Amino acid sequence: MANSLNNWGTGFWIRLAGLALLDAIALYSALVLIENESWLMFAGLVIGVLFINWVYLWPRTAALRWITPGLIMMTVFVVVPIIFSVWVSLTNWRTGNILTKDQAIESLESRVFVDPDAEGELFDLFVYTDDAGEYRLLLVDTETGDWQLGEPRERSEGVIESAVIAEGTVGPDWTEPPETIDGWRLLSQRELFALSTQIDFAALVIDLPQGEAVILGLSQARVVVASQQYVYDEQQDILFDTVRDRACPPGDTTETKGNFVCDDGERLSPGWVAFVGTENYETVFTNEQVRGPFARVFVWNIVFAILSVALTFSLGLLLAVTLHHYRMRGVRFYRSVYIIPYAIPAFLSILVWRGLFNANFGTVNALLDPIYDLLGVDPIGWITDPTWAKVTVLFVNLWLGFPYMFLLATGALQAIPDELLEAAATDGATGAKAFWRITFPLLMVALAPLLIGSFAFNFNNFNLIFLLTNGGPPVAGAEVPVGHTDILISFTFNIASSAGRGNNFGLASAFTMIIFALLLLISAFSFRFTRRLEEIYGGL
Amino acid sequence: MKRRYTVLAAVIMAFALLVAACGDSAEDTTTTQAGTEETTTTAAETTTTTAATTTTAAEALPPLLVWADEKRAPVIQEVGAAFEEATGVSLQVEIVDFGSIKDEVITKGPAGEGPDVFIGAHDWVGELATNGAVAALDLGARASEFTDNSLLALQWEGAQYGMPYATEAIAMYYNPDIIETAPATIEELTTACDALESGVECLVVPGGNDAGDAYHHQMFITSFGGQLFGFSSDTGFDGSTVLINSEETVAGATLLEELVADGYVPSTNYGDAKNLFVNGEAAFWFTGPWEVGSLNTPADNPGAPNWSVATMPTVDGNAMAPHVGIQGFYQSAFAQNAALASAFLLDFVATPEVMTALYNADPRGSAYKATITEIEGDPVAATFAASAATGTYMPNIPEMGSIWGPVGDNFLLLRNGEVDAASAMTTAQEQVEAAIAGG
Repeated sequence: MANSLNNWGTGFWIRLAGLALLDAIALYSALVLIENESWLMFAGLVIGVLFINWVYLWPRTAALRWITPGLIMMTVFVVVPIIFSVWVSLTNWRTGNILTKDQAIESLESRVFVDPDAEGELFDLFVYTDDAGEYRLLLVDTETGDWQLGEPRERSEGVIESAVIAEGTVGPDWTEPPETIDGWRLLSQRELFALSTQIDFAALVIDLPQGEAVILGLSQARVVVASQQYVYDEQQDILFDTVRDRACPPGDTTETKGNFVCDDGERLSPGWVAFVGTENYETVFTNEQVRGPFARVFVWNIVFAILSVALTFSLGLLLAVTLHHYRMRGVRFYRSVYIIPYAIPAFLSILVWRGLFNANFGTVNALLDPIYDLLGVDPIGWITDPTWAKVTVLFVNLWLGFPYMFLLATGALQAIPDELLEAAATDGATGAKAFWRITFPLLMVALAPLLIGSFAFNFNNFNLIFLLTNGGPPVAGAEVPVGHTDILISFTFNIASSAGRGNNFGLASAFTMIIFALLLLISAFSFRFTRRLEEIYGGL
Repeated sequence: MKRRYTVLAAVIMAFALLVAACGDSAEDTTTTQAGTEETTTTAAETTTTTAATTTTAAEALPPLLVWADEKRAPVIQEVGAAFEEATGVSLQVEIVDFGSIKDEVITKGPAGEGPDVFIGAHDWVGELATNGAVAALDLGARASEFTDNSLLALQWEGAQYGMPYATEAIAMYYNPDIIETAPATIEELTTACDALESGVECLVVPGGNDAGDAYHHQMFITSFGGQLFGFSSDTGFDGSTVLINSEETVAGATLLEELVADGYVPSTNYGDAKNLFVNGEAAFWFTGPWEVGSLNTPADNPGAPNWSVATMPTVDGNAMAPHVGIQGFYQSAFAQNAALASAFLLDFVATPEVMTALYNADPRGSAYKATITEIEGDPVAATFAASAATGTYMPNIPEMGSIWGPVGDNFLLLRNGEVDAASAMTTAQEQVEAAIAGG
């Protein structure tokens, strides 16, 4: 019997049309990628497209056809970001090192040197042309009206001797430059701007007797000390400073990799993204900034994640069991109500909670005010007191998280056959006993993996901490800024993104990898535990 | 099997056709995009001017892309008509949230997707220049048209990196229904507060309760002459000299500690402070000119009180100098046409009309001398300008990134009475030094 996928029916032609479309798009993308010289992406594209064509054209790969879309999604959304993060964690990608080496060289080579104490003479600039399409620049001294017409050159080219071809004056009260000089005609502003798309005016220089003059915008010029301070020698891989006469080879120490470092020790910026190996990982383990508060943050992180899961699961399960009872009325209404926290975007409700828990002006303390008065105690600092802040974080996470557990438990409860409980009742197990001995273990078989997932999620619950307390209140006297409710991810976020001299993406990625490894360990351990559960109860 | 080969041939034919179609349609869409941009961005009339009889390739010039926030964008867009008429280059202004411009420029610029010109705060200059994201901008003869302080703020390692347009600094708002005349010294302020009825707070400052705020505490750092970093007018701020636990700074923090202990300064975060003042429940409020709008708009604050603003009080004859912020235009290092971008800034934006229009769009104090003269009569603007004149510009070095967290956190602990002034400043100093060394 013929495989239906390989018949010449409509399905085949639809498949072919789809492939043709995909290949056409791929071919077009490939051209764009070649133009941009993104060879890595080009290779990925070619391999991916060839694979897809192979899978959908050859008859033997029929089974692969079903899983291929999933494979592609997994590659694009999971594998590639992980590989990218690993790569970033092995580089010095941070503030000051975000460019490619070519871009950094280009940036340094475009530097003009102006002596800050003796800024050079300023001129007004006009551009003249002749019939042959050549052009000359007219520099007029604003004060005296003296002008010089000269031939410009590219900054990187050699000096033109006697570049000035004509001189004169329009007098101190001048308003307009001469219309024509020796057959050269003044360009209108419009023509000048049009010309500026063909000629890189920012790189032009005129050699005046006073020195090199560079162009500012399209209407002024200034005599400078050097029109190009740095010159890169590709053979030697050294950047030369023509003004201060020094050589600047690329640095080779941990601190200077990815920057040119001059003989006198000055590190030039911008630098470029350089491969630094395991240095970021070494920083994580040796840096006092990280090691100091690590234990405190790690312990709270574990406590926070475990309690979050335990509390949300308990409440969710309790509500689910309550609503599951056959004599319960208005089940639909309650279910809708319980889902509400799940339906509101968390970032919104977290901010609302933050306002409600405001120690001075929040609704919570306003409501509790009579009780405080009665007991004669100070109002509770829900977000400002170290202990209460933790309670608040857990409470808000409970509010945010229980609907999820409620939904899961409801679903799992409905999947447990009633006969089991009926049989148990016959044997005399009812109520609490039946729940703990029969229902709960069966639920755990289905839900334990999800609880581990929830643990992993809460372990990295950056949104909640960042928006609710921002890690605060701060720990008094700590050697680095750390808060009482900081978890690893919020703590490392602060270190990697706002400490020191700006962002440090390399270090941040190294942290991410380590947190990922920690989570992997914890999850692997937990899954082994749940497998045992399954072995015991899975057969039921 | 033969049939399969014919099918493959058909597939390849289909590629070729589709690619051809794709190429064409891609070109089509880009041209139509350019067309719509032109009509939407250039106030339409310009095409009717027949001045451009000289035949040039002007129509083919790519537009100049500017990033600005929603307040500044319309003003810059109005320059577009004149710019295009004079030059044949159209102007495209994209609205980008002010707070995200810096990061967007840093990530998109090197990839070739950034703007040619963008606006920003002066304290970005260190990070932008270190990253190679901005180009130096020699203002030439235009430089004399701006205030010295604002130009200095946009300098980095001896080069000018932007053209300023606005300055801003914190001043002291007060409620004239409660306080008759603005106090000149901090002693007068506390004396005035002693006469307040109960239930009215004295001085509200953001940065207490649950959110640290180093920016709103700078006036306490400087009240006895302290500074965050070493400073010289030649080389600017020195990130290797952190001065947070200096005698002067601790004295300033002690002043705050006493004000807190005596109940003059309640523990308020930004929102708390604002609520208290706009509800008429606080006499004084330290914050910046950006709140003028909300105080003037009864729709936002129906109960908005009478308000007035004064320069910061003095302490022992010393001004409580706030951070001075400067906003300016930057030219991207990845501008498609650097000369054109500079020409736009120097010849079309640095004019009294545009600078005054920028001021009117968001009155924060101008950096342009002609505009400053023009708005002299406005008492609110004059007060904020006077307040800015007492302070130095906020440090523009990347090390400033290490200040916000530790200084904000430790002032927060001080405001909540958990540490004393000396230990708060010592801890902040250590944390900042550790962060700079480790980062």
